[in-house]
Amino acid sequence: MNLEGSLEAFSLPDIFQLLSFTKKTGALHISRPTGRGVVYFTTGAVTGGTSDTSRQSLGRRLVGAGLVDDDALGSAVEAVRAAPGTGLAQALRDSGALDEGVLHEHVVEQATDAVFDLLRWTQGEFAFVVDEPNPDDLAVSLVVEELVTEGRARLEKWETLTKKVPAPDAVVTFALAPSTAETRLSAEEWGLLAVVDGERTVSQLVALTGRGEFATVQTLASLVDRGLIAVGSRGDDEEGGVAGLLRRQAVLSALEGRPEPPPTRSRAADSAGTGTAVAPPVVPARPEPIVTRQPDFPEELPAGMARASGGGMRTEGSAAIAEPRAGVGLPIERDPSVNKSLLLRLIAGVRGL
Amino acid sequence: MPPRKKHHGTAVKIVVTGPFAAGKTTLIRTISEITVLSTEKDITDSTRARKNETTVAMDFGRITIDRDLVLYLFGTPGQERFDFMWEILGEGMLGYIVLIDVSREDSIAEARGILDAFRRMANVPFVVALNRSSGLEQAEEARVREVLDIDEMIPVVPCDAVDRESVKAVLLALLYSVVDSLDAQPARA
Repeated sequence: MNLEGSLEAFSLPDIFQLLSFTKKTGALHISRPTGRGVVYFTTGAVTGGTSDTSRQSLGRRLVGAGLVDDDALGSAVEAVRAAPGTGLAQALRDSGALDEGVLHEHVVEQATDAVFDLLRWTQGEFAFVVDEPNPDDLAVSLVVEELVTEGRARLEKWETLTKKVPAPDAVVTFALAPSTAETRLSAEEWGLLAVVDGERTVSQLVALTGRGEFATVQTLASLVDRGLIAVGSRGDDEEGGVAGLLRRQAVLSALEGRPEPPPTRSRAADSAGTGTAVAPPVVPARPEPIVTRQPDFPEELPAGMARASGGGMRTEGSAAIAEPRAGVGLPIERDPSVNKSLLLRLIAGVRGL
Repeated sequence: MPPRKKHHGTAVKIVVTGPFAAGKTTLIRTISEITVLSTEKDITDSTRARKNETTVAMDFGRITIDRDLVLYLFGTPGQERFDFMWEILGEGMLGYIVLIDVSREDSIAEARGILDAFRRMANVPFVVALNRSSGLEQAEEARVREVLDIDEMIPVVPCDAVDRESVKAVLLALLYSVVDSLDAQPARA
């Protein structure tokens, strides 16, 4: 069965509910001009997913968490290359490099992050490919409604978070003087601070840590709240940052009898105060391989996706919907969670249509 | 099927079933707030006389009740060769609507088999909606009740599948039946 259409016609939660209610198995591919994502289903439950199929999102998450050493990673990559259709996480599990429980936890986080990211896509195309296997199927089974509910809860928080961390291309810098006298950091916060270098942007930190956009931005917002970091556009006036410090020292130099170069906000200004002319940086500008590197084995766009059209949605055939209900023979009973309060809400809602 | 209430939101399901070309797709389209997923395909010559296309998998509609409550409508395929779908679609349903084209005698007869299958399959409330009936005459209702073998407790309501108010009335009849069933049989612990 092909199931395809546009996100303008059908919201992602509706598609998820449909696949859940009808216990579908396969891959829901979602595309927009700036990227592609995929969510895998097995009998209506989510087994994994990513909002960026051009990256090894789960692999990056495992690497970012420091769970994989060079040898294990290299072997797993070779195993994936040798057996197309196998995922990196599966290869790591099969090699014994990672415990299944640890993998399970990260697969759940990865799928939850993916659904949250994809829920923010209001435009694009989707195509469900029946029986397409999840290359990293680790027997995770997530209830669609829980994922959507978590995604919506995150969306509510997202607005607040983005006031503190305004844009993916905002640069994260250290604050020189924290706003609190004593600061305690969680392991996650420490891990994130360790890769803040005053140049990297939010999106680069997300890619580098592999922890997902929501978790990374949430941690950054917490660090902003405590005055440990600042997040702004490159070239913003950093009153509490290195640029502000250099600028004020340059003002003091007028009393110290030494010529000072005009204060700048660039790294070249690090040489200010030494009495020498500004020299070009010794260390060449650091490339950003994380954001430009292409994956070694990107996922292919399924044939069904290429045919997706802009309006409406359709399905073809029905052979894929043949799995009988588990426990067949037992009559379907009323859901015990249905109560009078819920019914009265339904009645009021239908009356008000 | 596990309960569909999770923390913030609840999704409930009503199934619309009935004979071929009874108007199930139309009914869902009339009330759904989203473009209904219609899975209709060309049909065989023997059925083309009545309808140019028919539902082979399902219809899927949505009604948002409030911020935390969504009602989904699933239409079953009308042809017997797709009856394997019924149980899948019926799982977890609040109740079901049996829609009949009352202007066609074969529709009522066909409904009997479908209703029997649903009654064996599911122990949940249902209503019978008579499409294309301008009003419900007592004799007509009695005839339908006799053919379907349903007692007075089961609501039989007139319906115009293209009329939104009429479809609302059918949904409300089912919801009140579910309330009655709750009163009669308290939820198990």
